[in-house]
Amino acid sequence: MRDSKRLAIFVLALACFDSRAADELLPSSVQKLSVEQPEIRLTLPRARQQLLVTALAVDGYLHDVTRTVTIEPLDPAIVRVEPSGIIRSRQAGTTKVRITGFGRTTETTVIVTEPNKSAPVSFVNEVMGVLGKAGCNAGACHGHASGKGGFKLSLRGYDPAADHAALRKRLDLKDPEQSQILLKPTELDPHRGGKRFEKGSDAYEVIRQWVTEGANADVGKAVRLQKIEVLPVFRLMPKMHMKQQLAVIAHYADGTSRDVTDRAIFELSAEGIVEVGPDGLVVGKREGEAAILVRFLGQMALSRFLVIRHSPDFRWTEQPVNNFVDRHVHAKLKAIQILPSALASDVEFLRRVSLDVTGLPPTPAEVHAFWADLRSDKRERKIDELLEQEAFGDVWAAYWLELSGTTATGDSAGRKGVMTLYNWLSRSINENVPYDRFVKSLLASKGGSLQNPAITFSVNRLPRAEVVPQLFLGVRLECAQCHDHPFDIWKQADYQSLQTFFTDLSTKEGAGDPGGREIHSFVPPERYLPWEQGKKTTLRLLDGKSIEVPVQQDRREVLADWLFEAAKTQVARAIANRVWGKLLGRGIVEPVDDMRFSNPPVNEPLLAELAADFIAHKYDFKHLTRTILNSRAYQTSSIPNALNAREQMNFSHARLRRLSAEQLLDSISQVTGVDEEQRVAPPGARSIQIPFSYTGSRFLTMFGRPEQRMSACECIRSQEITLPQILHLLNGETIGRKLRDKDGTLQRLLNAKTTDDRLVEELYLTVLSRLPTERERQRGTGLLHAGSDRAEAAEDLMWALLVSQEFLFNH
Amino acid sequence: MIPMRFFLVLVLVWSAPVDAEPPGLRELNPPTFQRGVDNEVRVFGVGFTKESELILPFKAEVHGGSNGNEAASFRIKPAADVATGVYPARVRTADGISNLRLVTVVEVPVIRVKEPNGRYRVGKLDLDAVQPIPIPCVIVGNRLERDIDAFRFTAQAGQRLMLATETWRVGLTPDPLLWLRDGSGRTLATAHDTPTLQRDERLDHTFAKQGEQILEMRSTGGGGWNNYYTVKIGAFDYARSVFPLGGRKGETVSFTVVNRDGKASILKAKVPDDAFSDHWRLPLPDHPGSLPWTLAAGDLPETIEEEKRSEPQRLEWPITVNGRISQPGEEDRYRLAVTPGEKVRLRASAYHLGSALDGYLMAYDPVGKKLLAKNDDEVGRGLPDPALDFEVPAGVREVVVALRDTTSRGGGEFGYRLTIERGGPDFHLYLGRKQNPTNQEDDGWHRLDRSDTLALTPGQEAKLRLSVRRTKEDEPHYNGPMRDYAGPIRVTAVNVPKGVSVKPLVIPAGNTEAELLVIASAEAPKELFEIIVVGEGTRPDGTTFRRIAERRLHLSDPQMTNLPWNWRVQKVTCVTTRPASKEAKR
Amino acid sequence: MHHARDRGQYTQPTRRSFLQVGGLAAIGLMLPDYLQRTAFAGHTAKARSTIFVFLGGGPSHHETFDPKPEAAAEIRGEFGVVATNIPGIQFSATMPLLAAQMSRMAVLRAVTHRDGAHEPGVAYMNTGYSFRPGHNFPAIGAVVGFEASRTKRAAGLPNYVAIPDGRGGGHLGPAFNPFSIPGDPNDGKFRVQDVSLSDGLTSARLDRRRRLAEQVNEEFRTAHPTDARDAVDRFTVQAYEMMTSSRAQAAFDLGLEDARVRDRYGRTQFGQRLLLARRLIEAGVPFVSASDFEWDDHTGIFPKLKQRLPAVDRGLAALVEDLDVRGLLEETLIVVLGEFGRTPKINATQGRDHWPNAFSVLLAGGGVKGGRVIGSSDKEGAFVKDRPVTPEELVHSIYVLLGIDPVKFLPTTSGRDIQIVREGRFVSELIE
Repeated sequence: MRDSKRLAIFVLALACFDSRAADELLPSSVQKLSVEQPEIRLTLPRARQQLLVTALAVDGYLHDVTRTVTIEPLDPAIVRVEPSGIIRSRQAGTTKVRITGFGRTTETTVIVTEPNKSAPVSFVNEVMGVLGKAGCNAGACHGHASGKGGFKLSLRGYDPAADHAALRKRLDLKDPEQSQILLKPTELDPHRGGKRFEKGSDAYEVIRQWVTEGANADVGKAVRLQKIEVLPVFRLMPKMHMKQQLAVIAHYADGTSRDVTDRAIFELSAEGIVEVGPDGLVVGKREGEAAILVRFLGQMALSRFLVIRHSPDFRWTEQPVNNFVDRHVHAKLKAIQILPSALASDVEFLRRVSLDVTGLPPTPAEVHAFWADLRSDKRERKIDELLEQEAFGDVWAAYWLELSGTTATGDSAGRKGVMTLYNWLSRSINENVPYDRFVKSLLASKGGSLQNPAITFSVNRLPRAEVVPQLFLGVRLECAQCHDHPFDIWKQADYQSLQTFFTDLSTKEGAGDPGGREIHSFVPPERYLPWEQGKKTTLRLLDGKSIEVPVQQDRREVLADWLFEAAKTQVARAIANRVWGKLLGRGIVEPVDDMRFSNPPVNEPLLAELAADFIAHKYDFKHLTRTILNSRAYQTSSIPNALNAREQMNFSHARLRRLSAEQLLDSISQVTGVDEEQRVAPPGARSIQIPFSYTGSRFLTMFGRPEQRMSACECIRSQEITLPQILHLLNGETIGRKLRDKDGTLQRLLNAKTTDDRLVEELYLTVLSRLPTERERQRGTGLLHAGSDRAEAAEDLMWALLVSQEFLFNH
Repeated sequence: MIPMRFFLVLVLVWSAPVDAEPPGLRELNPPTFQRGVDNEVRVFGVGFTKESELILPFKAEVHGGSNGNEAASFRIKPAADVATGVYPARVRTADGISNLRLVTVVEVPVIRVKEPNGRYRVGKLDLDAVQPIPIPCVIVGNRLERDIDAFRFTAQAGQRLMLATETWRVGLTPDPLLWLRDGSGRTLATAHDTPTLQRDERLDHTFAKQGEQILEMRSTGGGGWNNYYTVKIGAFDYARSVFPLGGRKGETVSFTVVNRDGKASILKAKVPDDAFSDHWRLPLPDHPGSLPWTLAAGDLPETIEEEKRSEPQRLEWPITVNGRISQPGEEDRYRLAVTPGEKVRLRASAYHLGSALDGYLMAYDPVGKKLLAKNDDEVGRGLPDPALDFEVPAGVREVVVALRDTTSRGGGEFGYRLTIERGGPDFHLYLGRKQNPTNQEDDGWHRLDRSDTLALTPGQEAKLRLSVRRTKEDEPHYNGPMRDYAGPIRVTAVNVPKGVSVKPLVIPAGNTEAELLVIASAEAPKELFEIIVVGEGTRPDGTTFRRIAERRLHLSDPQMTNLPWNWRVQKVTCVTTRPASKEAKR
Repeated sequence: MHHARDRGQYTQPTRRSFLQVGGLAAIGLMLPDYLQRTAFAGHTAKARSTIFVFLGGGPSHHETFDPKPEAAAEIRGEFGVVATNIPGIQFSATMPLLAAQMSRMAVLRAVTHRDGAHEPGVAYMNTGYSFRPGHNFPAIGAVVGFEASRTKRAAGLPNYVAIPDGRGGGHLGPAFNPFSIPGDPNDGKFRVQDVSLSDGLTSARLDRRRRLAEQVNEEFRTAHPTDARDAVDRFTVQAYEMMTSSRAQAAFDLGLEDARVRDRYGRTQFGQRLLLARRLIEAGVPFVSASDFEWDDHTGIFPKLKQRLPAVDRGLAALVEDLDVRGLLEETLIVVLGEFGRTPKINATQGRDHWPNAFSVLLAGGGVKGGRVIGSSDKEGAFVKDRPVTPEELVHSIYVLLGIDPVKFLPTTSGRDIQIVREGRFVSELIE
């Protein structure tokens, strides 16, 4: 909301600025003009084509000059050209179109042909397109599950037959213009949905004519739309406020194609970077990256935009490279004319990597040891050392458990099942079980859940057909449970076929769990009866391929095998992206578990090589983690430079990440030397080690640990900052009590009767894992000196360090 | 086989309150005694009197007694030659005898946990707070719940140790988890619910490096009384499997015992010829890491499965076949000649005989390609052993019985006994009232269930409660063959000593509860004695069948009936008390 | 402007109480509306704030607002009836004080749904969405908080407070979870956690700490110009505001309430929760839930209700009367509900089990016309006889009464917009 408000102000400012700036946006000197479409074929009637004219400027950037150049047909009887570059047919024939501007000229040919036979308006290909564009079948309108105003259409038009049936009652075949379907959207009759198009517009005419021709349905008969294409697929805008017209072409099974720019729906992957009008005109708004998802009758295409602030003075300085990660990150930064921040200091690095790998900040002793280490590869060594700590397994066990949907209550695994699963996960990670074996165990283990805890993961109340693709492919299929996915290629049928991999399984309770359930999952033994031998069943995989398997086959194994054969690249991309996201605070695809078609990675080569390297190293999870940790991209400072402060997506500097609920509570416990009294975990346990969704901890809930594992989405955990959190830190008992504890760090330091200087130093070292600056040292000693109560002053200082932003954030 | 002789070492004569209830035994801590040395034990319960005696079925010196109505302390020194293993213990007062709890006799020192130990700080084990232990030993721990107990010991490089809990199997409530770490706190191995040990677990670890090692005990459940664990540690060999899992009564059977290394040895033993018991325990003196193995004692002819057959093995029946699902995915098939209309009863015993098998039984007509019956678990949760009854349909002359592991596992530990006999109406006869998970009996849950005991006063009638389960309604969790025996049941008692008489009883058709009247005379034995109660039914064809009244004691899980029993009792322990008198009260 | 018509009825105001309590009320009244008072379903919203009383576990409708004195003994129970101040309307005899307020309240006696288990029932009644695993729809309070956050905030006060705890923001994100006030406000040592200065902290020392913390943050802040950091700065300012603003402190401090007022609400945990709720809405918090979660009486219902119902009767009656006297009833919507009612037939263990088929919900204030019963159950209190009201309709109506468009869409954390309530309709009898 805050963002949208900000955006609104921004847009307002732009509106004033726009016209003045227009000239500056044009290329000053053009090398060449070109038309994106080499040849244009229009078929009468109703044919149109959005022309795209591109200028190559001397600085190498491409500019859309469609609306700036002069476009003239040599034979105006054949076509006419609108100012926005739309060519409309008039009569059959061929003509050249001349394009002039910037002192350059180019030409293109337009061929207008008669249709083969009479071409009535196609319901499937044309009317449905109009309804989609007008938004009639959107989720908030008649596409809603229960329709609107008694009129229901299939969501985004996935079921044309049903829509035709629904429309039929709203037609007046005798007097087409009196049809509801024309009166309502033009608001000639009152319409709660407002005016969707004008009387006499193209959209109006399509429907009017269709009704006039008898309003026939050609479902199943119309020529099939094979794909759509959008031009251009990528454009780099070197300045703000530049414009780019998109053109959308539909390709049909009969080899024909048609411009559908006016029927296509344009949606943004990210707000604020660019804007796109209903006519497909894109305007760059601020630096960044955005994709425009183009939809037309169930088909999708993507056009990506990179908006930068080109600076002629920008000089890329060659950056040191630790591994391939840096080459890709730097290549991207170079393209967007941003220099990465400097390498983080040893102090910053040590705290960051300790928190990320083990969930805890370094102790003063660890800080000292790291300083004392003078070897040039000490960071690599530290990373290796941390990856061998069992806390690494705990951190990832908590992660997978949280997303698995496995809880200790209700119809799930029981206390014992959750505990054993947590232990299994943690040990598997620590023993560095290859990721393919790890996933296959989670997906398709046999036997009982107590001997084989991984089973618990695959048998719980969240629908597996949602969890499995989201966790292991980074694909969100939940939308497809009820309807085809609106922003992705997934159909409802995909969801249903995925379900069949799990529904076949029998489960039963075992003998071993007194408080909850032991779960056994198995292929029904009746499948092994002699006459069942040789029988096969057909399974449909997510890539659309089908596979025949014996009925005795545990289908989950088929799916697991498929994941690491046909889908292995996507599996590797998904986990590489998750690890990246967890370590750098933002995925290469973000959200990390939404690797949708319409949500492309910000750095495709980086993601591709991480995935390939992961596969080449036989799914070595620690290797993947190590590769990322060793990169300069991970080790870059969180302090931005003049160029990259606003850059948030390309890892030019480390992000500030609020410590997670567990990191924060465990860190507070460590630095104050006072354990948290956990309600459901052994005394002294870290909160990351609580396997249950219920923790009984107000602190953990307040800081975003989900109380219910209701979804496989990472978004169930909140990393947001809220008022109650800050209030609790400043004034709550967590810090207050631990500070005053007589066995705590502060008391120990006070009892040690150190000098003021030493005390200040120890406090900074313990809490912030660094030494105080000279100024901080002076202020600190001054404080201890000034008051009458040294203990109180020391407590206040330690409190101030604990509530500081430097402590609150992983930086 | 435990010698059922009672050594009454201590008899203190005190007057007892009149009409008082027999004692109830809640907890006995520690429940593990080292033989040949003095062991201190605290006993908790109800109805203790100053003259409370601890009744142990092995030779031991016992001193001490009650300190109040609900607690007692004893010093127990088992004789040096007592066989190690599990034994029932009871408390006796002048008012009667208590329910049983299990104790073990071991050959190694018993170490009590010293609290606090195993302290953690911000997830890191505080080594100074870890209790040192000698090897070998048995640790008796305290309640765990959220707590963690940690113990340290030194191991040599290459040294191999067994660490096994004897907790669930002896009726203690925690559900422990074994966690082995090296001196730096790094995980070496963990164990939880080892197959064949039910909810107990065993680690068999060879230490790579010399040095200090840490055993951590955690728990995933448990509470209330008996919430402590025992774990046995030492270089013990143990039995992974015993095969076959029983034999015919009176016959001498060669049992193949497979040890920790997979090495087989033969142990010949005679199956006790006790007409009134269907199970016994085989001591494993060469495998001190194992408790005595519970085995079946059958009445039918027996055979051994012929391995590696492609065609189903033909069996003459009734029979008990001893087999094994030796490979994952294996299915054992037997072919029976049958007559249409005939009733066949199948019962696979595995889990409660220490097998890892979770059996799934199917009977089918191989010619007609028709499944006739199937069963997974006879009793819902907690008893993975299947059983089924079916009637042979018209036209079927041959039936194939198939048994497999439900989740398609297999191996040396997956032994079973499949009994095939004639089916027909049947009933179960139980000591005591109907067991109901939400029904509190007496002053506690089943742990204080004294329905397998009887206190007799000379000259007076004593009532022994019995219940019958005839139909599914009588036993909702039961999932096995439909018994549906509706007819009358003649109840008799056997082993009744001189001076005691039992009134013959017929439980009328359809009735499900009864009381057997037992009368003691002045000549009734002063020592404990055991009687066996038998019910006899008559099938429509005039044949009769007998069922022994039994009791399943859920020692560690008072609130659920459907968990594996740890002790089945088929005998009623009787004690003769003095006649109540006003003087005694004074 | 509203006026406290007859504050003297409660207590003679002292200067102190005027400054702290009355003054607070006065400021409260001058606060801007958090919600646009827009008309939906032809109703111009009067309610500005809500006190949402949730009796978790499912209170018996027979023993509260829908007694069946004519039914058989195993249905009608032990309590008998009491006449309300509206002829023809009876309550269970356990609610005499509330019965005397009937003219200010409306009772829905045919609320109905199908979710007889706690988790789904609670979800349904708190959100207007039937329970679906994997979905977590926002509570009414979270939606109100969301709407209110678009306008102004009462300085130092959250928008959604739950005493002791309430359902959260769900799909809207945890930023819209309630500010919870655990503990027993009837306890002499009760203090609102985190808000009132913790032990040993004087405001002078807090000032020193604040300065110290600012110094510690100085360099880090300069070096890291980011939104995330800005949020901490912003909330830090607000947090200090709450800790130091006498207005906020006063709102949370029941000790400032006159002893006689506290008595009137009942010296019970429940009564004092209601009183705290009143103080908070008076101070400008738009939504306060006051809950109690002990109403799952499967066994021995009558002795237990004899313990619990008088506290509810006294507390609610005092709340309605007090708000009316202060002139706040018209702009404060009170809703009293549970996730379902209880079985008409008393079970073998003298309890009543879950019963969602027909049960009662009470509403008062916020524009609701008093003195009426809407809908009825059959003669055993088992099923709807007429005018059923679904949870969707109830929740929809609450939004209409509050001036929030119930059918509009709100953005969620997953990026998908969700409708506030689906398939609801305004129960227009509430205002007609």
